Amino acid sequence: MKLKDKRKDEQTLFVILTATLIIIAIASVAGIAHLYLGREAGTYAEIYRNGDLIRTVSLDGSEDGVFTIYGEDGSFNTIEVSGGTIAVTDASCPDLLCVHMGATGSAALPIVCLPNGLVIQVKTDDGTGDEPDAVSY
Amino acid sequence: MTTQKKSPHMSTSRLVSLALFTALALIIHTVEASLVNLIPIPGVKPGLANVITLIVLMLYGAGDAFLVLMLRIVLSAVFAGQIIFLAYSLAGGVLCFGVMALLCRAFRKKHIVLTSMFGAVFHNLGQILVALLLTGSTAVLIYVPFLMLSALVTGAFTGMAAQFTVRKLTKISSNP
Repeated sequence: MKLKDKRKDEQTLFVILTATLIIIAIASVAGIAHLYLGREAGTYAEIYRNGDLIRTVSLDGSEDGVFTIYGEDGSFNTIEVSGGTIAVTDASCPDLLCVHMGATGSAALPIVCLPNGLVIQVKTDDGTGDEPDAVSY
Repeated sequence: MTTQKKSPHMSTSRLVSLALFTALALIIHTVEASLVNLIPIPGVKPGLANVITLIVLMLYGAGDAFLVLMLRIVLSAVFAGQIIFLAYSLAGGVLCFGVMALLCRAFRKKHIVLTSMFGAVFHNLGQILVALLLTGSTAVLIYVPFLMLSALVTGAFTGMAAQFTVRKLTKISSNP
């Protein structure tokens, strides 16, 4: 009798956990779809390092060019702005994920370099691409 | 293998086995880190070293699995050369391990795939938390759906790999 109860508990737990995973999967797909459908061209980019806003670059062509951001520990990220997009072209981090992410001109996805604590967030003047969109997931 | 606990040769055999599992996990982790990421999103990676954690958890128990996991994380941080990765690995690894150890107990070592998927989900949640703290920017939260989806896929894969290996290993160890 006791063993039977235990088996039933196990089964209930299994069903609950499987349902949770399915919900997570559906929510993730919905979130990604929402992200891609809702994206629009940004007008400027904010560059954060370890949470501090260190530079704002306009994407309208007036500030096109290449510049490098250095950290106190000797790490660096070279950033290129051109044609309404912003990209990391070189970096000191070993995985170079920020470089592989390519150029972005949309407010949907930020460029992130976790080893150097760098975040590049593209924004539009009307405020979309701002934090509320990120928090809603 | 757990049935041999009373045997006098246990400690040596266990020591060697755990050392081998640690070496294996380290090799898998290092090879995986040197591969080019196909999906350029921070944190999306196969996480194959978790196969070893799962196997040790199923065959040797939670204490030994935790030991192997900690050794692998610290040693792989040494090999990766960047101490910042240690924070991400530790947060992800410990959360993932805690959840898997709990589920392993609740399911009495059954449903390895489900256990692994939940471990992967919590691993990525842990990494997002560290990213939140270190970058101080809520912008990283936008990656949560990507990381959850990748956790489900990679968790299912590592779970199946572990299940397959555990089945073979218990067959071998039960016919000495």
